[in-house]
This record gives sequence, structure tokens and C-alpha cells, in this order.
Amino acid sequence: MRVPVAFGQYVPVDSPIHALDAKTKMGLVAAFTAGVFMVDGFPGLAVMALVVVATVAVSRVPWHIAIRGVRALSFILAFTLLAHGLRWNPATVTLVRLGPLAVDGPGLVTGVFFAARIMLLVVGTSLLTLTTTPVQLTDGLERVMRPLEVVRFPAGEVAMMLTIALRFIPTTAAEAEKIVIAQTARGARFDEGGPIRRARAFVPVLVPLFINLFRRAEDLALAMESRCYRGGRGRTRLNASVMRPADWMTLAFATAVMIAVGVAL
Amino acid sequence: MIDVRDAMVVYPGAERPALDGVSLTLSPGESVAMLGANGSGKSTLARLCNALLLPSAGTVSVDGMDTRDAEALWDVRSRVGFVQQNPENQIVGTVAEEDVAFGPENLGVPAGELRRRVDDALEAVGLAGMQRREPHLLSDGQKQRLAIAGALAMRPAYLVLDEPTAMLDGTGRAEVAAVLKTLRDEGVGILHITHQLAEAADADRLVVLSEGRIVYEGTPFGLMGEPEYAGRYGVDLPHMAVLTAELRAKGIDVPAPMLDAESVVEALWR
Repeated sequence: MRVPVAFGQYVPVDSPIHALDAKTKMGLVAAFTAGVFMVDGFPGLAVMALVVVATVAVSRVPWHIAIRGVRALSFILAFTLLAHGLRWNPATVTLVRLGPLAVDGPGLVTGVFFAARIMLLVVGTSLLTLTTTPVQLTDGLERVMRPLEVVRFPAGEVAMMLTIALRFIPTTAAEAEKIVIAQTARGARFDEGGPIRRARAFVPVLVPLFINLFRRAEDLALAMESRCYRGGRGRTRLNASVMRPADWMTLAFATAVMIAVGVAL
Repeated sequence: MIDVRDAMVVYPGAERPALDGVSLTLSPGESVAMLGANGSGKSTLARLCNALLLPSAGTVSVDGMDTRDAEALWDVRSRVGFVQQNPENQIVGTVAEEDVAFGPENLGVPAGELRRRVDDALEAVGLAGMQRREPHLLSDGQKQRLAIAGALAMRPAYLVLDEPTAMLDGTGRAEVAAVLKTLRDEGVGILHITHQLAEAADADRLVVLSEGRIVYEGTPFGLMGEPEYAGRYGVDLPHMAVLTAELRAKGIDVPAPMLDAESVVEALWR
């Protein structure tokens, strides 16, 4: 039995979007989110939809992957529609009536508006993780969080923690697999019974896994100390991520468009 | 020079000291092998060398800097590279070059120099061209060589290795041994802790620890002539060394001690 690893969602293709610096993409996501919240009508949403469609096309991320997030949200989308569209015993005239339950025209329109907004947000923002490797994301995050060090937020340390977590995911997954095999050899069953019983069957896997993780952590701490790790301060970086002119231009252009659309429509 | 003088280490709650008055020196370009049973204090001694551990009594100094001096701590650690047994658990970076860069990054080495050091270190351990390789895709021997590269990138004068080959197969062992030999020849002082006397045969000096004390210090071959003595301290001699020692005990004149079967056969034929 294999232990599945959900390892990011990165789609490894070459595209102009992939080539952008992670910090640029974080800025774009922020601008886009603000833009989507600023527009208050369907024309605005239509422009935003156009932006999303164009960006996905440029990023060369396959469509079925790009809209995967929407499917996960289908319940929330349906709820949004119904909450806005349905009325109980309305006094006013409505579109359709089923006993006391009625579909309200303007309400439905509002529901569609909010649902469309959620869909755009999900597809647009998920492009960040689809086109950026976890390592690039962590590096970008460190840089973006650095101003917070003024208020003693340990940006460097948080980024280091994330990097180490990423580094040890494949190792830990391989180890979990080994333990599952070892326990299966001793007669453990992981494919029997209801969900609770199955979950309980994993306890004999998790206990040794965690013990090993603690041991690893001790070794790793020694290794890091031996190599002079003393927190984020004063550290230089081999592959410092840099924003090139193209990054700045993209960011400036996109932000301007978002503000213009958000204010005008 | 790493100079351990009358070092004593007592772990809290332990009945007897882990190290009981040990003195040892290591010069640049010298290789010292250290053997001993589990719990003999080998790892404790290794950790004294780069200030991961401080002696309860006695002193440890590296090129004149006392390891207890907090000011000198980072100087000491960058001068004494440390490699552990488990190759998996000491790799910090998500790709090979990032891991090698970790030490010099912490030392604040500027970008251009950093790149040179990383590429040099990878080259020195025979991993040139593997810069972007992810650690979990490397063999155990390669991982251990990557760990050595990570220490080398700090440009240390000494390398302390705590059973670096214990978890490796024959190929991995040979790879690591070859790297260590080259480094020694380039002037790095090497303290190699091992369970295999065969690996210690090339060392300039051999030290055997038992219950926190040094019970043998001399040439590797000196110990190989004394199988009983070695056995008492949990050191397994290579088969051929045991054989030559027994032949000599029986009055058969063979030059002692020999490591490979061929030279034993030749000596017997003569």
C-alpha cells in the first residue's frame, strides 16, 4: 500500500507566468483580489473573468487543473446561490413560486454575482501555487515577511521551518511507507472496516513515525548548529530571488489595470 | 591544532563519566582514526571538538581558541566540520547546492564567493554537476558525500566524522574513504570514528576508547598485531590480521600484520 503524498500543486511547464518571481506573483494575487472586491457589477466581473482566462492561457496550466479549486467549492457556491435566490413566503412578486418557497429575481442575480466572484477569486489565486514551486514560494514569503521583523516577527526562522518541512516531506513519506510494510508483515490490516477502524489502524504507524521524526529533529539540530546556524540574521543566500525589470513592469501594469477596473466598473 | 586536554564529561544522571580524562590532539593534514565499543565515549569526544558539547573538566581548544569562549564559538565551528552517522538527517537544503551553501550562508559569505565555495565543495567530493539534485534522489553514499561537502564549504581546517560509513554499503564506504584520503592529502585534519578497523588502516594514528578512557594510541598496524587486546575493547580485526597474528603465535614467520589474503599467501610461499 502506498502512502499518498499531497506535494504542492505545481504544474511543471515553462511559461512567462512561471518565470515571474514569486514575490511578483504574490503582489499580483493581492492586486487581483483587491480588484475583484472593488468591482460592483457584472461588467466589472466580465473584465476580471477575461483577465483570469487570459492569464490561465498564458500560464499554460491545463484548464481542468486550473478550475479544480472551483469544484471543491461547489457546495459553497450552491449555498451562496440559494441563500440569495430563495425567499420564504415573500410579500412581493417573484419569478417562480413553489408553495411558500419562492425564487426571487433580484436575489438570484445577487447570488450569481457573489458566486461568480468566488469562482474568479479561486481560479485567479490558485494560479500562484500552480505556477510557483514550494521552495520559490517559501523564499518569496521570507522576503515579503521581512518588514515584519521590525515588530520582532521571526521571518527568517519561519521561512527556514517551511523549507525544512518541505525538505523532509519525501523522506517522511518514504519512512511511513516502510513502517506500513513492516506492520503489514506483522499482520496489521489497513483496508478493513469503517473509517474509524481504519483510522485506528494507523496508530501503530504514526507512533514509530513520530518517534523517528523526533530523533531526526535532534540530529538535524546538531547538523545545523555544527554549520553555524544562528537564526536568520546575517545570513546570505546562494540563490536569492531577485525581481527583474520584467517583474516590476508586470506588477505595475497589473496593479494599474486592477485599480482602473475596480474604480471604473 | 585541536587540543583536547584531560577532558572529562559527565552527563546528568549518569553513573560514570562519559569521558574520563581524555587527551588527544589533531593537526591539519593528519588523520586519526578512533575505535571503541558503543558507549565508549567516541561520539562525546567528537562533539567536544566543535563545541557542540563543553567539557565538565579539562580543556578543548581549536587553533588556540578555547571552546568555552562564547565569542569564538562560530570561529571554532567553521574551523571544525562535523559529519554524523545518518546521511539523511543532516541535510537541510531541498536541493544539493542549497544544502552545501547552508554553512557559508550562515557565516554571511557574499554571493559570488558563495557560489565558488559550493561548486568547489561539490567537486571535491565528486558530486560536480549534481547541484540541482534533490537529496532524496541521491544514494546513501552520495548523501554522505554531500554532508561532507556541506562541511567543506565552510573551509574547515579539520573534519570530525562520527561513524560516517556505518549506514553505507560497500560502494558508499569506498566513496567516502576515497574523499577522506584526498582531503587529508590536501591538508585537512581528519578525526574518523568508525567500527571498522579496516577503514582505520590508512590512518596516521589510531586511538581506541573504552569506558571513557583511551586504552590504545599508536599505529593501526600496532593494534592489528594484538588480536586479543583488540578483542577486549570490542574492536574486530580484519580476518587476515587475526590470521597473521595466529601464524606468528605458532612460530610461523610471516611479516605482521597483513590485510589482504594475497600478501599472506605470498609470505607463506616464500
